[in-house]
Order: sequence, then structure tokens, then C-alpha cells
Amino acid sequence: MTGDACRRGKRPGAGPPDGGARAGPGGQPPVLEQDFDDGSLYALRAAVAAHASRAGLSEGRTGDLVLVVHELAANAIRHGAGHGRLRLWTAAGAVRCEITDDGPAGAADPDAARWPAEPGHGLWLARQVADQASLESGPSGTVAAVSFALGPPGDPAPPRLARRFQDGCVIVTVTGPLDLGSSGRLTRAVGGLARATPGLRLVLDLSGLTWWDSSGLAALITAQRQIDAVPAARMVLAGLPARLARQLHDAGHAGRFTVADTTAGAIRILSSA
Amino acid sequence: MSDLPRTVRGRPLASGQLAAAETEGRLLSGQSFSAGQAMAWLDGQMTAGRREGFPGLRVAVDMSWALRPVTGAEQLPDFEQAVAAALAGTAVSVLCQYDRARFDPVTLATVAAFHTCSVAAATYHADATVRICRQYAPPGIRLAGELDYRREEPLALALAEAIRIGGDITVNMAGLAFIDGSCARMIVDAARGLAAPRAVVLRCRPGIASRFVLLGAEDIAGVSLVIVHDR
Repeated sequence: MTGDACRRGKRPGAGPPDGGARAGPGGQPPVLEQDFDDGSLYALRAAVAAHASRAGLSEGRTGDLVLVVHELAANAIRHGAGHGRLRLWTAAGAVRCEITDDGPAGAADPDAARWPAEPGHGLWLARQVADQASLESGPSGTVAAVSFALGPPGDPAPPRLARRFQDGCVIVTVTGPLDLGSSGRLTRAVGGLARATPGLRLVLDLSGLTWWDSSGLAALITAQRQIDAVPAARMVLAGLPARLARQLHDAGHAGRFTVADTTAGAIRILSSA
Repeated sequence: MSDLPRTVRGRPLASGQLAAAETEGRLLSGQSFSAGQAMAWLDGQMTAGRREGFPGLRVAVDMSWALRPVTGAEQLPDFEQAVAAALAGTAVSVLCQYDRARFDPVTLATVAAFHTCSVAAATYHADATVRICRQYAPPGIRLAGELDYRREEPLALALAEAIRIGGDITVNMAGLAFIDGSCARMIVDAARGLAAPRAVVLRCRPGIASRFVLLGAEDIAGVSLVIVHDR
């Protein structure tokens, strides 16, 4: 999964696909194809949740996917044709959803720019939690697509937190996913350290972080708030994988954090302060 | 209490006009409930009230005792039926208070049937998927089910009324399974518009709490997130 953030663009000529079963990644037909309108979003959310969960997407990421699909479908209803169609594939190691909108009635040139991307809206949300998100519009409508990678088959490595001391700094290493199941542990650990250690200098080593869901991302924000609340306490994020760093930046949260490429670099930043 | 008439504010406890009593020895004896004993107590109160020359009697009962491990709780419907029969044609009213956050919906529906009248918190919207209502303690609103932009209007009304009432506000979302961006932003904006020192408590499950963190709710002065793990 390359996770090349969001693309926005116009598709010259071709509109969204017609109503027939459209081949997705690997040429397979979708496992779910469902029309939606203002009155059927509840059923849409339930169907997406069931398929994503059955495909093996974690609870937190399933919740994120459901919210993103809801927001994109709501965009089509409120700013587009008033109805649309969802297609969902569970293939090639990912759950992929496409939301197509035939465009507003009577409008000749529907434009993806009509779709709001401010904080809290569908695209903004997709940028911080989806592995891929794109939006394309042509003369006859708009296609929004999001993709959430599934973990490798078999038992995923459980999330781990480890703590050690080095050069006057506390190093907390987060390994595996930072998600609904592990995010509470991180905020409690950082909160406890911040309260118990005057002038805490904390390195959060995230080089072993595999992925996060919105709970994990929220946990980092809450951890930083807990540090900010204690005078003279500081925290540096070290080794955040590039894909996650880009999501943090795209979502507009990067400014909250001090980041370093490596733990050694983070220690240098904390020692020079 | 300042808006109560002066006569009531006087010495109602001293004059016997107002009495507060615990359930033990009245509705309960130890860990057991018996409809017969409870009715005997109520009959005694009605007789005593008449003897002392009071024109009527109002009884308010907090029913939360029924959630404790008490034997005989299955007699509750019998008790409620006996109360309804005993009150007919009298100037006595009994108000049984069931905390919606603590009693399960089946029990509430069962006991509601035995009451001549049931009063729920002001409800702004209720259907099969979502319920938006006022919450009296702590003051605020309660949201349950799945909330999306289609219910923005009743949500806006509920928030506006909670804000008008004054004081700190709790938005109780412990029973909320889904909230979309529109409604989450509406709640955050309402919290942002509240002037200090009024505080807003957002009570929600972990998955919902993260939505509010990402929207920057915790950056707003006076806003706090309380995470609950069940309703």
C-alpha cells in the first residue's frame, strides 16, 4: 500500500461507470453493490460494517471506514445528485469502497471542488485514516474511492508498549498498531509519566508503528496535550513511518508535534532544549 | 427553590407537610421486597395524612433500589397494580422515578404499562435509530443510537435549549453508536460558543471520543471528554 494521500482531479471525458457490475482491483466483481439515498444511509452503514468486519478489518478501522463512506455518501446526497451507489471490494489485501454520484440534476459540469474538505468533512477524514483516497469527477458525475489495507493473514502482532531510559530521556516504544485496543494504554502511560516525572523529556519511538485508526491518532493528540499541561515537560515523536507522517500532515495535526527521524535525533532535540 | 411559594418554604419538615424517608422498613425489609408490606406502608401514610387533616398526599419514590440484589423484585408489577387500584378516586398521587440510564428498556416498558401516566424527559426526536432527549441530572442532553445530519434540526434545538437553561452542560453520548461529522461539528461549535466559566462535558465511548479529539474539542477551554466503556 503506497498510501499516496489524496488525489483530486477531473477525469476528462469518461463519467462514472454505468450501473453494471464493475470490475475492481484484480478484475473481481464487488462483494457489495448498494444504491443509497437520504433514507437508506443507516442500511448502507450496516452493510459496509458487516463486510469490512468479515474481511478482517479491525474494529476501530471498520468504524473509520463506515464514517468515511457515510460522509462521502452524504456529500453525494447533499451536494450532488441526491442519491448514489456504493461498491465494495475485499481483494488484494484491502477493503476498497467506491461511491459514485451521477452529479446534480441538470448541472453540466459537476466538480469535485464542490465537495467540502474542511476539517470534519469526508475527505479530510479520509486523509487521516484511509490508506488511499481519491476523488475524480467528470461530465456525468463523481467517483470517490477509499481503500483500507487489511493486515497480513493470520494473527496480527499484538500492539506493544515498552519503556526505557537513555541519556536523561524516557523512551517509550510503540510497536504494532495504535488502535482502539491499544490507544488507551498509551494515553494512560504518557499521562502517568508526565505527572510523575518533573521536567519529563519523552521520546515516543514510533518506528515500529504499523498503522493507526482514528483512536490511535487521537491518542497521540491527547498524549501531546497531557505533556503540554505540565510545565517544562517535552515530547518528541521519533521515526514515524513516512506514510503515517503524511497522514498527520494532511490532516493538519502535524503542527502539534515535534518530530525527529530517529530516537537519537529526538534525544539531541530534547538535550539541547 | 427560590421560586416556590413562601408557605412551602416555611417549615414543611417541622410541620409534617414534607417527609423524606429511606426505603428500608417501608418498601424493603433488608434484602427483600414484598408487595404486601409496601402497600401496607402506603396505606398507613394515606390514613395518617387524612387523620392529620391534609387534603391530599403526593409520594415520589426513587425506584433505583430495584437494581440492587433484592428478592421479591418480581412482585414489582403486583405492587404497581395495587397502587393504581388504591389511588383510584383519592387525592393521592404516587410518582415512581426510574432512571433511564440505569434501568433496561424492557423493564421500563413493562412498568410504564402499570402507570396511569408516564412522563419522560423532553424528547426532541425519537425513532428506531436515534433518540435525542433532555437529561435532568447532570443537566444537558442525552443522545443514543445512530446520529447523522438528517437529525441536525432536533439536535440544534436540544443544544440551544440546554444552553439557554444555564450552568454546565453534559452531552451524554454513552448510548451513541455512531455520529457523523455534521452532528459532531454542531456539538463542538455549541461548546465553543459557550462563554466561560460554563463547562461542557462530553461523555462518550472510546470510538466516538476520538472523533471529538480529532475535531479539536479538547483545545476549547471548558470542554472535557469523559470516556465510558458501557452505558
